[in-house]
Amino acid sequence: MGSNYKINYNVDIVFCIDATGSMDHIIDIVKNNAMNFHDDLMSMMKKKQKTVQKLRVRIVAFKDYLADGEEAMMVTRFFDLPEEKELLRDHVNSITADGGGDPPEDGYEALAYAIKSDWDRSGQKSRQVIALWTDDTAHPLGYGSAAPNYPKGMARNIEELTAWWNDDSIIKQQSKRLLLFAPDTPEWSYISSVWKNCVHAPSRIGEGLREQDYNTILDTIANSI
Amino acid sequence: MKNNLIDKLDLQFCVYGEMENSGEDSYYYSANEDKYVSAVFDGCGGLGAQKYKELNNKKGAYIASRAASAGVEAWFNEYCDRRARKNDIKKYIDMCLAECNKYSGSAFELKGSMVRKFPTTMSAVIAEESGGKFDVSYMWSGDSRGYLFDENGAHQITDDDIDGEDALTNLTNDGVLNNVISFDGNYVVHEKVIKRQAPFMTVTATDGCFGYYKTPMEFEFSILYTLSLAENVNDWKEKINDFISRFTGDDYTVCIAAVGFGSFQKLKTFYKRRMEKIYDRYITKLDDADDKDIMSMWNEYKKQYYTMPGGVHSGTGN
Repeated sequence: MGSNYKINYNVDIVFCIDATGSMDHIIDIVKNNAMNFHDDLMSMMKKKQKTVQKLRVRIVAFKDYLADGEEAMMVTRFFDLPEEKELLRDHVNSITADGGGDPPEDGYEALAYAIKSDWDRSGQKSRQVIALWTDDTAHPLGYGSAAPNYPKGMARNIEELTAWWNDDSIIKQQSKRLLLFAPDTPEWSYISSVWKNCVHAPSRIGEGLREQDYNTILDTIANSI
Repeated sequence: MKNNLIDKLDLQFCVYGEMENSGEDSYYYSANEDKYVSAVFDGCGGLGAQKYKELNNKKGAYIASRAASAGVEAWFNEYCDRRARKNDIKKYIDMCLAECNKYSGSAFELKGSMVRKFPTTMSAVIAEESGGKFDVSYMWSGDSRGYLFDENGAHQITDDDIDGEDALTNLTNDGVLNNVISFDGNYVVHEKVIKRQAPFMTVTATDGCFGYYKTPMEFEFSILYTLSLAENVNDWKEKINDFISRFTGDDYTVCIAAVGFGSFQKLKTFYKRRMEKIYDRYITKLDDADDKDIMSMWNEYKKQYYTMPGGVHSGTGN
C-alpha cells in the first residue's frame, strides 16, 4: 500500500504594513509577535492538518513618497523562520507609526514591491502570500513620482499592476494569495473584485484597524495557505 | 420476484469522519420503493472562513455543507412525491442557503475572489428503477466525486470542477475550484445519467477520502480491500473508517449503495477478483515506484477508470 502521503508547503509571506500615524495598533501586533509568529503559524497549520516545511517572511512598510521622502518605503529581504526571527524582529522594531501627509498612502507601490518578491517556487506545494494592512485608501500609481527616491521600473498604473499579479513569471498563479485588511474604498475594492485569489477584510477609514487582533490575523493567513 | 427497490438495495450507508476543530463535511442518504439518493458535501474551509456570531459562531463552510444537505433532503422528498423536478435541486439548495443568510448578520463581511458566502461542494447520486433497469443520475458541483463500481471496478463519473487537472495530477497540484455551491447562486449543478441493470455499486465521496493517496487506484483499493476483509456491513463501515482515517488529512465522507447483489457475501465475492487485480498490478508496486512508474500505472488504470459504463446522457444542470 502506498505510504502515508503528507503534503508539505513552502510558504513565503510578505507583510505590507501602512506605517503612518494611525497604524500603531497593527505595528504593535507585528512587533509583539514577530518572535513567536513561526511557532504560532505552525501550530495553527497543524490543526488544519497541513505541514509548513519552509516559512519565510518579508516586510514592506510604506508611507507617502511625497510627504515622507526617504522614509516612504522600507523593504526587507525574506527572513527564514525560525532561524532568522531575531533579524525579523529587529527590522520590525525599527518601524514607527508616523508621517503620512494627506490621507491616501502609497499602498499600491507597496503591493508592487510585494508582487515582485524573490519568491521560492520549489517544493511540492508553495504558497506566496501578501498580507497588506492599511486604514486608508491608496494614491494612484505614480502619484509620488516627483519624489527623488521614487523607484524606477514601478508599475505605471493599476492595469500594469494587475498584469504583474496575473503574470506567472512574476508570481506563481496557483500559489498566490492576497489578504487585504483595508477600507472598502474604490481603490481597494477594485483589487478585491478583479484580482484572483484575494480575501478583503474591509476596515473603517482612519481607525488603525483597531478591530483586528492577532489570532484573527493568524487564522486568516492560515486559511489562505 | 423482487420489484421493490428496497428489496434490491443490498446496503446503503455513510462513513463520516471529522478532523479536530473542523467538521465541515455533511451527508444525506435515503431510499424508498423506487429510488434512492446518496449525497456528500464538503464545506470549503478556505473560501468559507468567515465566522457568523448569529449562527453559533460557526464558519460559513460548516453552515454551507449542512444547509445544502438539508436542501437536497427537501428536494428529494418533493421529487419522490412528484412535486419537484430533478433539476429543481438547485432551487432547494438556494432556498436553504437563503434561510441561513437571513440569520447571518455581520457588518463587515469578508470580500474578494477567494471568499464565497456559504460555499460547499456536492456529489449526489440518485438511482431510479424503471422496468428492471436503473437510471443512475450523478449531480455535482465542485471536487467531491461520484463513482460507479461495476464488474470492471471503479469508474469516476463526475468531472472535478478544477481547471486542467486529472485525478492523478489533482493529488499534488494546486488546482483551484472553479465551481462550488454558494449563497450568491453563481454555480452550476452538473448532471450525468447512466442507464444500466443491476448489480452495481454507487459511491459518492468528499476529497478527504481520495485526496491523500499517491494515486487514484488506492481509493478503489480502500473500498474493495475493506470489503474483502469485512464480515458484514457494519464491519465494512468500521474498516473503511479505520483505513481512510490512517491516510487522510481532512474531514472525510463516503456514501455507498449496492444494488442487486443478493447478499453481502455475494457482494464480496463479486469484487474479490477485481480487488486482487488492483493489489497485484498497482498497490504492491507503489512503495518502490518513481514518478515515471506511477505515470505508467496511471495511464493503464485510467483507461477503465474514465470509461463510462453503459449509455451516458450528460447535460449541465441549472
